[in-house]
Amino acid sequence: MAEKTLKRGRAGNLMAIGGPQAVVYIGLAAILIIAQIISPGYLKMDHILTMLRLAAFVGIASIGQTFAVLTGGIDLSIAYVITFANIVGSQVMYGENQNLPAAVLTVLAVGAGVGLVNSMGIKFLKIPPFIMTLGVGTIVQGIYMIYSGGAPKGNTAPLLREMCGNNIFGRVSGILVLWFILSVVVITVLKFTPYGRKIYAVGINQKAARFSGINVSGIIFSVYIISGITAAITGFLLVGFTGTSYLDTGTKYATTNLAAVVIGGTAITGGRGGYGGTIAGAIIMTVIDDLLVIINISQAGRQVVQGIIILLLVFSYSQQKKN
Amino acid sequence: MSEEILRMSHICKSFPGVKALKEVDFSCKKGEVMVLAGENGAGKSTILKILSGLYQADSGEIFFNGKAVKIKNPLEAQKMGIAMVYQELTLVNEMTVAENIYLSIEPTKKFGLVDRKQIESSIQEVMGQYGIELDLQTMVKDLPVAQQQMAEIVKILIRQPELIILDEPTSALARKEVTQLYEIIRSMISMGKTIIFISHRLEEVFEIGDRVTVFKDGSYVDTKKISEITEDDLIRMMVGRSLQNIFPEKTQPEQEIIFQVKNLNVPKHLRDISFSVRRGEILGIAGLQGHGQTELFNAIYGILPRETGEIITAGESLKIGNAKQAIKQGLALVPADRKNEGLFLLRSIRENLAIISLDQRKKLGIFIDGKKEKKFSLDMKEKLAIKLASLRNEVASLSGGNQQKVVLGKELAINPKVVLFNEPTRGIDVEAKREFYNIMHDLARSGVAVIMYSSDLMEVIGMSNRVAVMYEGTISAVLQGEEITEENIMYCAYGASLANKGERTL
Repeated sequence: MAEKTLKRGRAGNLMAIGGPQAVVYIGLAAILIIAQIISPGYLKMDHILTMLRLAAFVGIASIGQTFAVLTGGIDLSIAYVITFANIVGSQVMYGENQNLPAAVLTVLAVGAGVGLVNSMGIKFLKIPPFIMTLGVGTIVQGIYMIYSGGAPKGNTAPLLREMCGNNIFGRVSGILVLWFILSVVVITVLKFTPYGRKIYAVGINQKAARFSGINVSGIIFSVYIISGITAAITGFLLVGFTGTSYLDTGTKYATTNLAAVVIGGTAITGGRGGYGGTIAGAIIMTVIDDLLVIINISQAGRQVVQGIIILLLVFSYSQQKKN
Repeated sequence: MSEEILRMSHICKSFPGVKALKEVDFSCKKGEVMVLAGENGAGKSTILKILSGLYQADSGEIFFNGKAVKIKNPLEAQKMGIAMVYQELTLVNEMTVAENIYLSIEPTKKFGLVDRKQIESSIQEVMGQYGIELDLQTMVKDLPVAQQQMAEIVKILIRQPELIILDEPTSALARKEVTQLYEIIRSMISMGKTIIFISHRLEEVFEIGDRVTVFKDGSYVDTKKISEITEDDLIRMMVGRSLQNIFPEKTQPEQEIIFQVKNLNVPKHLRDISFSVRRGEILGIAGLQGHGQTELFNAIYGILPRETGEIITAGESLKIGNAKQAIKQGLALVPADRKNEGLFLLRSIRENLAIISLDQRKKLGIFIDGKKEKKFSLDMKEKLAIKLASLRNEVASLSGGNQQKVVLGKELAINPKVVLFNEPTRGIDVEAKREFYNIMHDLARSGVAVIMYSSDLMEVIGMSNRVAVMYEGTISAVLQGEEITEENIMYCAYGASLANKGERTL
């Protein structure tokens, strides 16, 4: 009996130190080694920086997903918000630097607005996050189809193109720098502020959170708004990256942003994990996708692989929890 | 003398940490109404759940109609002719009354289709026999609770049981409906059925029962014919146990009133509740389970919306609309259900201790001050003597008593002026209980208003300077000093009048 308690204590300790989040970095290292074997030269500095730049989009889009999943929710509208922001941002900028401030503000407002609608449905109408965000995503899709008339207009401002280029800080892309800054902020918020603690509390046990005086509605509103905003930022940056906007910009992020969170060791049931793991998850998803391209797997085949990865991970984590 | 339909002998049942039933005997005769009585936790529900197949006895024998039987699950019990109407209703809200009644035993026509006509006619027949009226096509969710209870009973009757167990069937019913239920019970008896009845209302026991069996602390006390005993006899059978000496000496309250609740009303739950607590005093709340104690605490704490009611500390009326405001104004609650309401089981002990008081330990205005938090949690661990390997372990790794200390610790972090203890010692060992009693004492002595509800009467008696007894959502009596006896509390808890004992109000 005493022994049993002791064991549980140790497992608890390990979880507190990092648990699945520590494991994910070992996984990342393993995948990079495999990549180097399949494609010698994979780990050259230039290629690493290129991969990180691609991963930054997944990583930024996954910030909001990490928050949502930590509270025990999920945001399936992210891919649609990315496209929406992509189209709106491009149209407002119309290739002019002077339009940048207006474009940034519009795009952030769009993201925050979608997040607000999501959270209102979840909190007031008690619609499960899964359904609510999927429904809102579909509505957003309809709106940007109408808005763009099926043919998105506009293109990136030169300044944004610079920022998304590969050499703004020496060889490092501006996007990568932005991702790094955002990562530091997000990890700090989650680990070292009362707000972060409350997110975990709500994810573990909403009822106890309420009894502990936590404003549960406020937390839920905030995470979906953050999620809308980080998705919108991703869509906006993609204008700079590709030079213009497309109707299917967000599609490839639909599964990857969730996969990054889950691979990163954040429990899909909420309350455990963090953004540190998501960063590795975003890089892993990008590298796997790249490797599949290298060995000539089609886009369709890559989607199958992504889906399988998500299911396997969720399954393996749920097994861990049972034990 | 009629024959025995049921005999349960030497039944034992343990749950982790508790011996719920110790070698108890229980039997009833064909065609009688047998009442099972006793305090909270006496083992009444446990033995009936064994009889209905929901629990398995650890040892002991059950004879039904003279034959030794093993009841492995509720379906077997049902097949034997034993049916139970549970305290919590088990109907499916989104189905009609008829569908519910025939759930899982639907008669079918060709191709496996449900034969609605036959269902309705046979339900009508049964309802006719017992004089029950229900609209069969109504959705269960649209029925008032009393009618849902009737539907539940029809659902049982249609299965033609011999022995029917009613676990507090009247707790949700109004007077008139109770009378109707008595009629139905009488027709059941005239149809040759046998009834086992758990009640928390004294008058009911005498109104409807033929015999009564009393349990106490998981042991059998006695069985008597109702016609041969008085209310006093019954109360005396239910109480009467020596005070274990684990309670600290009672505090000496001063005159100054430090906490007050005035005219608290919560629709459906609480009616006109007023009480006050003096400096240095522990106010005990007693009463049988489900008479509004938890609702009272939750309403004071802002979790349950109040219709009316003033909450006053130090002469000042508080504005409390949610738990956050309650905490800000110095109220703390140790909730009854620590796993669901008190703790974040999968987070660390340190995080749990800190969660309510996070804003008190900030640096640079926004960050958690890790050093202060570590010191705070170590201090709390020392103060409450929490036994733990590391503050970083999940709180789930602790024993029940230590988990409960974590709940208390997180509340004490805000230096509350009022602490509401809802079942503070449920499921914790005696040593931890003793520590809890001492902590409550120290709190009261230091000028904190301490209010405690416990379903363990001895605890209420041993700890409280005064005891407010709740009955049907209101305070039926406030006892103090010599008046605080098990007997008096049980009187008031069963809704009997204490007139002959000198009722007091605040």
